[in-house]
Amino acid sequence: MHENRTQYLIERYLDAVLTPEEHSEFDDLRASHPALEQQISDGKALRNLLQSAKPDSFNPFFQSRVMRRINQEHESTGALFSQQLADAISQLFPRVAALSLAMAGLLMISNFIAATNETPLIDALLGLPTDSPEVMMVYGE
Amino acid sequence: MRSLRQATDDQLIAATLANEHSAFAELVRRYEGIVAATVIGMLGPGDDADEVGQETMIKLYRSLSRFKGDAQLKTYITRIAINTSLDALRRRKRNLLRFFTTDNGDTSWENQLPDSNDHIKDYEHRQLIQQALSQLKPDFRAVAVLRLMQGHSTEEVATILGIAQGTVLSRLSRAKQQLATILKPEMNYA
Repeated sequence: MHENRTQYLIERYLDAVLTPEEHSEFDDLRASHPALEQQISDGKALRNLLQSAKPDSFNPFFQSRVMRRINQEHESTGALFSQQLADAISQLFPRVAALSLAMAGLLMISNFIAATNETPLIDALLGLPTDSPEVMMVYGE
Repeated sequence: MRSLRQATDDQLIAATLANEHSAFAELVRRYEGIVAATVIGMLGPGDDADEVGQETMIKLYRSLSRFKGDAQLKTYITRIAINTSLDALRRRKRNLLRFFTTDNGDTSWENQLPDSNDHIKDYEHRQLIQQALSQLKPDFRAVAVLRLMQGHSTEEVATILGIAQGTVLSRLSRAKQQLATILKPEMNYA
């Protein structure tokens, strides 16, 4: 921790952001540890050296290369979306079909239970009335 | 929107999210230097670095909708660039191991010859520093690039790398010792 504290103070000193309290602590530290001077001057020199070699750009037309890839990705994303939609529908269809069949089955059972004994089986399952349409019309009148 | 060059980062992000590609192109132009400094610092110059730079920008594009603005865009981009570079270094190490060679850093910089005599001195200087950086372990290199080359504070480095500030300070101390040993003849104490 002590070593880190020394490093912390050196870095803040190099950035010129020491508070007055830190400054006084750092001055005391420098007075009692003369070897720190070498660390400080090495720190400054290294920073100057590395910053002098700081790269500032990629190969020419970097922006164009990035935008071309993004445009390609956009186009493939559109195709991908269509494919995903088709996949989703094809996955959803069997579930919807199974649910519909189950509901139809339940409806048939319900119709069969509600039907009278004389009702033919098919009519009972489909819930058809026992009277013919002609008879129903007569009753209607 | 007023001219893209004058637009703020937030305006450019909003325009990008509204599918205005020219706004993102402006962000790429604006932040190319920061990404280049990070990626080339980590990997050395070459096609590999260029590819990782592009990958960084594409990751930025994909994640813009998740960028909340609680950090500076510069910090956010630097974090993506450093993580993408570290991934590339891991891939590179795996490939090197596959071919039974030692990882003494990338040698792609050796192929990046200067295009005129005027640039030779500068090229040699950069090459020397890049070689020195490539001798550091990736975690130490990341701290050196962010702190010494780019001038981020140790707090910022900790935020970018997602590690404790104490860890940054100890890695930085080790990296400096190693770099000072390698680069002593180049260091100017003026």
